[in-house]
Order: sequence, then C-alpha cells, then structure tokens
Amino acid sequence: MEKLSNYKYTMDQCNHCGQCKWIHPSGMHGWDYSEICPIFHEYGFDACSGQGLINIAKEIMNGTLQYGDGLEKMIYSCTACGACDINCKSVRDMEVLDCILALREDCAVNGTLPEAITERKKNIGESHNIYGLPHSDRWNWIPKDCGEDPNSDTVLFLGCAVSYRQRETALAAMKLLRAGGVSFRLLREEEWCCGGILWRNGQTDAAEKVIRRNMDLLHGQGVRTLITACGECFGFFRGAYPKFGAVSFRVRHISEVAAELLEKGKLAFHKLDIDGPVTYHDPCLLGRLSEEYVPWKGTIHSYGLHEPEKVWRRGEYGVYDAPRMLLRSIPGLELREMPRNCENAFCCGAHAKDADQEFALKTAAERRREAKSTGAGCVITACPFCEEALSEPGENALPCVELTRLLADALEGGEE
Amino acid sequence: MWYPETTEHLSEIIRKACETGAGLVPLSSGPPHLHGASVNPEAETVCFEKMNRILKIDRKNRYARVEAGVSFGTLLPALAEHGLRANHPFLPRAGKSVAASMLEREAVLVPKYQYDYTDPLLTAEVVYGTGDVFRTGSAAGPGPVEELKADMVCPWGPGSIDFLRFLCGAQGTMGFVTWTTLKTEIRPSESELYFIEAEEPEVLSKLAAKLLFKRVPDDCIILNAIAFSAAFSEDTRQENLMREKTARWIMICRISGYERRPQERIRIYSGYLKDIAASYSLRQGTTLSGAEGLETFIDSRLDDCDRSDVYWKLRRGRVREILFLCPPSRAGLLTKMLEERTKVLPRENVGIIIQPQVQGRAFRIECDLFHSESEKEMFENCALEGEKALFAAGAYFDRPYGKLPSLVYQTDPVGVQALKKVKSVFDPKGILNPGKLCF
Amino acid sequence: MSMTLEAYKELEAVVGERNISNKPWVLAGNRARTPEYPFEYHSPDAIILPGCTEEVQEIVRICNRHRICFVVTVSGASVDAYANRGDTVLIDLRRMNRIVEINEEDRYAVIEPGVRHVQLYPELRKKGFTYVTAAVGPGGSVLANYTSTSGDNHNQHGASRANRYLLGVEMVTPEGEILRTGSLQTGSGWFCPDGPGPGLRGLIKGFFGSHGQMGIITRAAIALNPCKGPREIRTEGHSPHQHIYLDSECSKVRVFNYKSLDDVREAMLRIGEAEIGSTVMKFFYLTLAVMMTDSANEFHKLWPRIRRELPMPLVVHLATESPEEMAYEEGILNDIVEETGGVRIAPDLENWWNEHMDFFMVVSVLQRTLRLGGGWMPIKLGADSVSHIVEVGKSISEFIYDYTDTGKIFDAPENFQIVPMEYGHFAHIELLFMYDRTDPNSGKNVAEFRKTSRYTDLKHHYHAETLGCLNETTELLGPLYCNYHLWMRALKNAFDPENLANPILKE
Repeated sequence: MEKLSNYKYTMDQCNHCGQCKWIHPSGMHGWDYSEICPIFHEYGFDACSGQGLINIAKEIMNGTLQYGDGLEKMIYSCTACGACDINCKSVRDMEVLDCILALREDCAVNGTLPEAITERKKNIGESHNIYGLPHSDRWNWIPKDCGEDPNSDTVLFLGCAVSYRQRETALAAMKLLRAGGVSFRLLREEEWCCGGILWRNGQTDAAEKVIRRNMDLLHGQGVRTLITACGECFGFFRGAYPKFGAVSFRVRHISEVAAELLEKGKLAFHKLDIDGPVTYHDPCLLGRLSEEYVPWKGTIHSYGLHEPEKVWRRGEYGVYDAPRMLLRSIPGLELREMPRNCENAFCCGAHAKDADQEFALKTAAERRREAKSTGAGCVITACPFCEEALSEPGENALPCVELTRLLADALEGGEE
Repeated sequence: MWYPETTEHLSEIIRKACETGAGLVPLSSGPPHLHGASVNPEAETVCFEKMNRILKIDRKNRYARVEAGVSFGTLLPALAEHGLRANHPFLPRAGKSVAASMLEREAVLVPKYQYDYTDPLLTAEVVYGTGDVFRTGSAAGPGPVEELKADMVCPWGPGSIDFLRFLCGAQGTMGFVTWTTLKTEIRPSESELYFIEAEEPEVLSKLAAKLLFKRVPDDCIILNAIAFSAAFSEDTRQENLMREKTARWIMICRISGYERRPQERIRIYSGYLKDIAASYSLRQGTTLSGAEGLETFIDSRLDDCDRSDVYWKLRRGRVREILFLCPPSRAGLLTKMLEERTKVLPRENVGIIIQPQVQGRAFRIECDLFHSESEKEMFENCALEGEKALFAAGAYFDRPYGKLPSLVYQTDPVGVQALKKVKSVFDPKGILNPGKLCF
Repeated sequence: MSMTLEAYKELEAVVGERNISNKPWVLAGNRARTPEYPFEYHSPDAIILPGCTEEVQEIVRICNRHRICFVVTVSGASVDAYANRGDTVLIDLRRMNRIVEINEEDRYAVIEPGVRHVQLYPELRKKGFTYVTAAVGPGGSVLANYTSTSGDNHNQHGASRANRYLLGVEMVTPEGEILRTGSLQTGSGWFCPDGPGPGLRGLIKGFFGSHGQMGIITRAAIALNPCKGPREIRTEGHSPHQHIYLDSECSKVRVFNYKSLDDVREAMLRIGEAEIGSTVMKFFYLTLAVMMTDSANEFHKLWPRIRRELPMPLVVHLATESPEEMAYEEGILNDIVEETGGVRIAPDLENWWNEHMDFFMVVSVLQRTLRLGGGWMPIKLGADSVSHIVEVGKSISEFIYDYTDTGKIFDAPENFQIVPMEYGHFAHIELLFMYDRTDPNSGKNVAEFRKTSRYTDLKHHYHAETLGCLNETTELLGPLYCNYHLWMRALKNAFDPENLANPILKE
C-alpha cells in the first residue's frame, strides 16, 4: 500500500541539507552527541542516512539501482527511529520515514530480507507473537486476581515483549491502574501482537491482516480506551493503525494515565532507594513517533500547497512530559536530561538487531555513553525493547529500569 | 628611472621590460625611504610621483580612491574636509604613499575598524608583469572602469581567487599597483583621550585585547617612554625631558562619539574602559605625568602624519626597525624578549610600539632602534641577532625586508614553491622587483 | 572509463575497507539531483572517507598517479560538492571532525572540515564567543562555509563576511603537497592568514570559494567574535515550535517597513555611520513568511498579509553590553527610522523575531524556503557599497514583473535581501526566487530569468553577478571582468596541471 511512487514529492524535494543527520539547533549543546541518525553515526556514508535512503528509494523506483550488495542489510539496519523524519519536518513538508518504510515494503517484495526479519513474520503468523513462543504463554501467567473488571471498556494491552519477557512491567502497570482506581481489563488469549513490527519491516500484507484482526476485535468489543504497557505498541496503535481504517478507541500509554492520576491526586510516590541522579531515555515510538496518524489523500499543487490540508506529524506532541513529570514526583529522585532528548533522542538501536546485531549493540552503547555523561547512575525508559537493548552487556554498561516498574515500586500506600 | 603618468603608460613600460628583460623596482613614496624600498643597481626604477591624484572621496559611502603616488600628507587633510578620516599608521611620514602603506599591511591606529590584515585596503588596479591591467574585487567589472557604476569597494575576488592578497606584502613582485580604494571612516565629532600607565607592557597588551574584544576604543596604541617621547615631542630637548618623566609604558586610548549623541557614547564607552581597566588594576587618566599640557598636541598628532623636516624616527640620523606580528598571548613575552635582546644598546635608543590590530586579535610590534650613521653596524648586528632570536621564539615576520626573507622562507619549502608558482603566473619573466622575497 | 581495481585497492589501503566504497547503493547517496539545480550529477566511482591530513595527501597522490579526478565534500549541501564528470572519486571529509583548538586569548578556533555549525556554535558560546554563521542548516560544515562558499551571513552588519575571519589554513594541494598559509607557514601559529610576503590564502578564497579546485583544506583557523548574550541558549517547546528567550534589556529586534529602497539605503548608511546594531538587513518578505509558518499551506494563508504589510522589511537587531548602551542605540535607531520614514511593523509579526533571535536559530529555519515545492534559486549575490547594491535592487523591478505577472516565477517581486557589512561599508544582495518545478517550462523560465537578471546588471554596468569558481559562467563573464577567468585558469594550471581537483567543467 505504501508504494514508493507515493513519495516522489519527498524524493524530489530533498536537497541534502543535512537536517536529517544533525540535532536541531534548539537542542544543540556541543560537539559531542550532535548526530541523531544511528546508521549515519556508525557508517558515515551519506547513503546511510535519511537523505541517503530517500536517494536510494528514488533510484530503486526509477530502476537505476538494484537490491543486493548489502543494501538490504543497510535498509534494515536503519532503526526507523524517525529522528531524521522529525528533524526534517522542523523545516520541510517531507515524509522521510514513510519513504523509508515504503522502501522496505518494496524490498520485502523485490529484495532479500535478513533471515531474522522473515522469521519474525513467520512467528507472528503462527503464534501471534514476535518470538515464536506458544500463544498460551502470553497470558497463562497472569494472576487471576489482577484486579481487572471484565466489563470495563478500557483494555490494558500488554504487547509481546511485556507478555513474554517483562511480565513485571505488566504487573506494575496493573498495580498502578488499581491504585489509581482505573477500571480495566485484559485481552488475555485474545491479545495478539500489535503487528507494528511487520508494518515497520515493510511486510505490509501480513501487518494488515494482524492490524485488521486487532481492530475488528477491539471495535467488536466496544473498547473505548486502549492503554498500552509498551511504548512501541503505543506508537503503532497511534501512528500505524489509522492507515488501515478508522480507529474508534482512544490509545494511551500507561505513563500518560499515571501522570493524569498523579495530577488528580490519585497516586503518590515515596522515596526510592536509588543512589544518585537518573536519566530518562525517550523511546522513539512513545516520543517523536507517537502522534496520531491522520490519513491524507489529495493533491500537492504548485508551491507545496496540499489539498486538502494535511495534518503533519512533526513530533511536537509526543509523550515527553508525562514520564518526566512522574519521575520528578518521586521524592529525592534527581532527573538529569541527556543532551539528545525528547524529539531529538538518540535511538537505543533495538530494532537494528534483526539485521545487524553488532551495530545494534554499538548503538545501545552509544546511548549508554550519553546517559552516563549526565552523571546518572541509571537510565529509565518506558519501552520494553529499549530496556532490553540498553541492558545488553557491552560498553558503557549502566543499569536500566523500566518506568512503570519504578513507579509501582514507589507507590505510596499501595498494595504489596 | 621611469615616471608613468597613466596606467597605459605603466603597462607600456612593463611590456618593454618584458622584451628587454630589465628588472623594474617600484617607488611610490617620497624620501626618506625606510624598510620597503631599496636600490637595486641592476634594475630600473618606476617612480609613481606623477600618479598622485586623489581620484575620489565619497563621504556617503565612506571611501576614497587614490593613485599610488598619493601621500598621507595630501590625503589626510583632503579627507578631513569631507568629514572623513583614514585608518592610517601611527605618525607616518608626510611623503609616505598611502597605497604602499596599505599594500605593506602597515599597522593602523584604529583596530576596531580593521576586520582583516588587508583592511583598510579595498580594491586596486594593478599592472601585472605581463603588462596586463587588472582590477581586484568589485572594481573588476563589468566593463571598463569608466563605465562601471560600482563604487569598487568590495575587496574580494573576482571569482574564487583573492587577487588583492597576492599584491599585499608582495613589495611589487606580483604587479605594480596604480590606484587603490581605501575604506574611510566618519571623523569623530568629539573624543576623549585617555592615558593608562604601567611598568610592564604585558598588562597593557592584555587590556588592549580585552578592550577591543568589546570594541571600546577607537585609537589604541601602546608605547614605551622612548617611543612616546620621540613621537610626541617637537625637538630633542623636549624628547629627553619627557622620556625621563613619563611612565615606562603608556597606552593611549581614544574614545569617540560620532554625529549622533556623541557625548552619550563617550560616557558609556568611557565607563566600559574604566571597568575593564579596573579589572586589571589599572586606571585611566586624561592627563599624563611627564606630558602635562600636551594632551591637545598628542590628540592632534594621532590624526595626522609627521610633517616636520626631520621625520620623528630620524632625529638621530637613522632608524633600524624590527617589525613583527604576534597574537595577544605572545605580545608580552616577545616584547620582553625584545627588551632583553636590545639591552646592549643605550636604553634611550630603543623605542618600542605595540599596536593592537584586527580588532585586538593580533599585535604589531615595532622596535625602533634610533642611532647615528656611525652606530649603524652595531645597531644592525643587534637587530639581526634579535630578529633571529625572536623568529625562533615564534615572532611572525610577515613583512620580511632586507635580509629577513632568507630567514623566514627557509623553514617552508612547500610555501616557497607555491609562491613561485603564483609569481610565475603574474610575472612570468621575473622582471618585477627582482631579488625581493624569494624570487 | 571507471577506476581500476588497482587504484581502488591503493585507496583502500590508505583508509581501510570500512572507509571506502564503490557499491552502487552507497554511491546513490551522493549523486542525486537536488531540487534547486536543474542538472544531473555524475556518479562518483568511489567515495572515500579519510581520517587525517596525511590520508588526504596520500589519496590525492594516488589520484594523481592514476589520473583520477577528485571532488571534496563534507555535508553534501553544496551543489559543487558532487562529481561533475566520470572517473571521479568523492573525498568525504566528515571523519575529520575535530575541534582542534579553541584559543580564548587569541580568539580563534582551529577546526577540521567535518565540524558542523551545530557542534561549534554551542562550544564557542560556552566560552563567550561567536562567529559569523552562514545561513545553512545545523549540519553545514563550518570550514566549507568559510573556504568554499560565499561566506555572507546575516550578522555581517556589525561584523563582516567570513572572508575576513579565515586565518591560518592547512591544505593539500592538487598535486599532494601539504601547504600551510600565513603565520602557520613559519611556525608562528594560526592567528594570521597573510604572508610572509604575499598571502597564499589568496588561492583559497576570493569572492567565493574555489570548491576544492585549488586543493583540499584539511584544517583552518577562524577568528572569533564576542557573543553578547547568555553562554547557553534557553529554549522552550518542541520542534517545530521552539522559542528562545534572551535578556530583553540587552537584545531587541525591531522590524520596520519602508516604502522605498532609497529610504532603506539612507537608514542603512545612517545606522552604519552611528556604528549601532548587530544586525541590519532588508530581508526577503516571502522567505520571512515561509520561516514564520509550519507548512506550505500555512504559508499560503499568511502570505497575502505579509505581502500587503511587509513589502520592504528592515530588520534591526540591537545587542548591547548594558541596558544603558541599549537605550543609547535604541534612541539613535528611533531617530534614524523617523528621519527615513520607516514604520514599525505589527507586534505579532515582530515578536516572531524576538522569540527566535539568536541568529543561528533564525538561519536554521531558512531551509523552510524549500517547502514551497523545492523550486528555489538565489541569484546575483554580488557585493559593493550599500548605495550601489541598492541601485541593483531597484533595477530588479525593470524585469521581474514579466516573470511574476505571467506566473513564470512565484509572484514575490520584492523577495531580495540586502545585507550591509562592516557597519555599512559594503553590502551584498541576494535575489531569491521560487518557481514551480512541476511546470514543464520551469527549466526554461529559470534559465531565462537568470539571464535577464544578469543582462540587466551588465546593461547598467552594475557589479552584482555571482562570480564563482571556474565554470561555464566564469568563462562567459570573464572577458567583462578584466579576464579574471584567464588568471584563475593560469593559477589552476600552475597548481593542478592535470586538472584533477574538482576539474573545470569546460575546457
């Protein structure tokens, strides 16, 4: 559906200004930590950047370039973190990330995908999760007395990573909701992968099947609010689902809900046993890429006039404030910002893993270097994939803690 | 000896020399000739004394265009009539060619107006060693100069070559300049003259750099007592008296107001001067011990050239100059070294002037060794040894005169090769001022 | 003929396998046509990323041995940083990205070509310095702006063009020698660009840079100016709506509208004579409308108002050391504006400037200009006195309506800027026009418009044309400008007899 030719306007507009590679001046802080694109940071060739991938996409579209020779690996080493997209959009009306995703879609059909990516698709098709683990393991560990209300129109969507690998996060999310008096229920065996990873990898047909199935389920059950415990699922529900049809339910991340509860006085936190300051890593899909996608179909007239008017996703309204507000509300916790934060945050590299494990590890190490440069003793994040990537062994190791779990631990007067 | 009167005439002279292979030496200033000009017995001299017209003074756009033979003695009063001033060297001799001074990157008195080492020189017309006439920057065209509507003040280019930079410091080896355009400034309507005294030069050079960083002073110059008394006295007796009474080092600093709200400007900027001087434990005064009552005279000397019969540097017959550039961080150290190296000479013969340049980012240091004809050898030897030691210590001799070229060029064969390539383009026959620099 | 395997292997031995590539998809990132220029680039045979001067020297020597052309690039933002013929290796200097030195006492910074504005600017600001920042995005190479492009900037009223601030330079000549200019030549440091004797820096940059035609600059020192304002800029909001806040007692932007260019000239000259103001410029009104909006659609909504209310905006930024000095400068400015008939613009439009006025911030959004479909071109770009440049500006009306009224270019006849420098001693002009790239006749219209603009200047004997490095335009215009093309060519031949360094397009 995301044909390369849909992005011809973007391809023709790029003038190699470099905005897709460098931090926006409003976030400038010095020589170090000024690059925002992980692949450009690592490889250095212009081809390895938002600009380069646009150029490559154009040549593929025009038939002057063929896949092979390592191109597929580069296309999927790109973490699709969207830093290029948001920075470009600070000055331009271009769809850099969508163009990269369209390239992936083309690559999925005409190129040779890295094995791990093909494997993911197979896993989701067969067992509805990205790991290829039994579907029953998705929910069979959930305590019966988790506090859900079977009649609630609010669903807590756990996601693959949380359900299979970080169940403490799921329990923490439930604890927060209970403490705040939020009625919710779980999908349990009906929860499938959100399909975001398929969409992100350009495996659009497969993604569409999963997404339509999930939409039908949620719409069919009259869900009004979907709370995600995973930053990635959140970003996909907000940014990808509307591409496949109208979404009638409200999508919220657990941090947004918790922040609202905090503001209403329904949550309070006590001091935690954490030494020294902490820093916060903005997950791409919770931050800059979490704005709602509003479908646009129309004509681009002379001088860039879009008719009808297009709603742009420029990253301004990502979930930046809620996690920070929550962290600042924990007594005695000092939050220090990394040089690249919010819409300029440097990706953890998690999603390069399927194409290039070594590069993914290096990217995480680079982000940890930055986290450590703040003097923080640990990095907090709000996405299980980021948590996993930043916790990988390697250079610049430092503890990584998932936000929801941290908040649950700090709950004042909460249940044990 | 040739006396060209027009550009065409000069071009003809050079073309002839191309045919005969005769060397040509340019002479644009009147006597006495100090560092730049020297006699080459094997070459013919091209004297620019007949090309001495002020071609234009433009008050509105603040520039003047002068032929190569125009001297400071002629230009400065002409500019004053238009309410303008030139950013000129400190007390140049009246017969000194304005064009030659600028082309030689001589020190200027108002560093805040100097953005670049070639400032205030803007554009030039030159006849190259092929006899071809060329104009630099926005004087280049389009079309002949008579039809060109531009004011010819943009110094760069044309194209991607900075043609002017090859002429500056070249001592005529790249081409003979027939006229130049120079930047001029509004003549202040009011000024306040300040003196700051110190026992050591370093604190004054640091102060000057700081003041210029904030663009506080107009004129700014540091002199030792010897140079100060030589420059601001009218005869030897007065000079001797003044030398004994003034502080070892004196900074002269002038703060000006222009046509609008001059007093307000002087008040604000004098406040900055006071605050910055205080941060160095220094105080500015409007009078100077040892030169009481001479403030107005000093003030007027800053605006003019030396019109006396005997140039102020030559009262003892001769002067041997040591001229070099350095960045602010090295000014104190190199001045001290200069003092050490000239200690063998009588103290009253060693004048030192430190001039902040290019908005305080560099200093031109000038040591004037005043002496008589009979002392020539001793002073010359001392100067040469001093220059060697200073060069080794990092002093930058950007205008290498006399025997200096062999010293400064020996360290950089790649640079010399490059200069020779440039020379081969503009003077392929090598007829222009042969034997100078590395050519 | 493409590069031999032998040559490739030699180059690879210099930088290692990781830093060179001839894979077609890697080359694709450096051969794409950019929207503002109508020509296709050639594909380089390889792209190489050296890490130091010695590696650059070795690469150049290998290119000479094998007769391979080389073009140098850093950010890729310049149209001259691409292969303009076959048999070319693209030398990308992005790995050479060190800030070698910031010398606070001597007020210079030594940088390698890969250092970007967004890196250097904050580092200098922390130490109380700034530098003249070109109107490029954050990723623009500082060194390339100083050495290879025009060097005009929006702060040049109280400062100057980058030419004035380029100090010692280290470069690799087209034949592979390491040449150092100015004080660096004799080991006296980076502070002085000229001498001993003539300044070899003349080879590197005239009015424009030589885009590597005379060699590859590997390190350069630039002079620093004082930064009036906080050491760190505080911003609020998220992209694209960040605002900055400076001390309003010492930083004020005033924007005035004028009715005639003659009045603008008078204002510029009088402000310059009074030596007040950090920035003075007659700004582009269309560009302003694009900069103030978040999308092309929003631009189209705002544009009628800007066109009506701001045909000739004079932007003045006063930045002072003290509130007292601000009162002094503001008083003089008000007097001059009153004398010259300027009218202060509506507060909502003026506030945009105050909320963005750090100039680096302002110029970082200049890229928004390309939002209007990408058909964009700056022409003229010459410099001379304010008076002369104003005359050049006035003559634009002689020809531009033929193009705006017929829709050949966007209808914004006043979209040119005049920016004085050195307190009004000279000024530069840039006529920026937009065109509809989707119009099949746009290429023809653009060429015709450029030609008409050029011939109008030539007809009047105005000095306003872009005189750049050796190319077809140089050949065309050279005879009218003292044959400067012949001298440039002779110098090029002397230093690059094989014509390998960013070769001249047309022999």
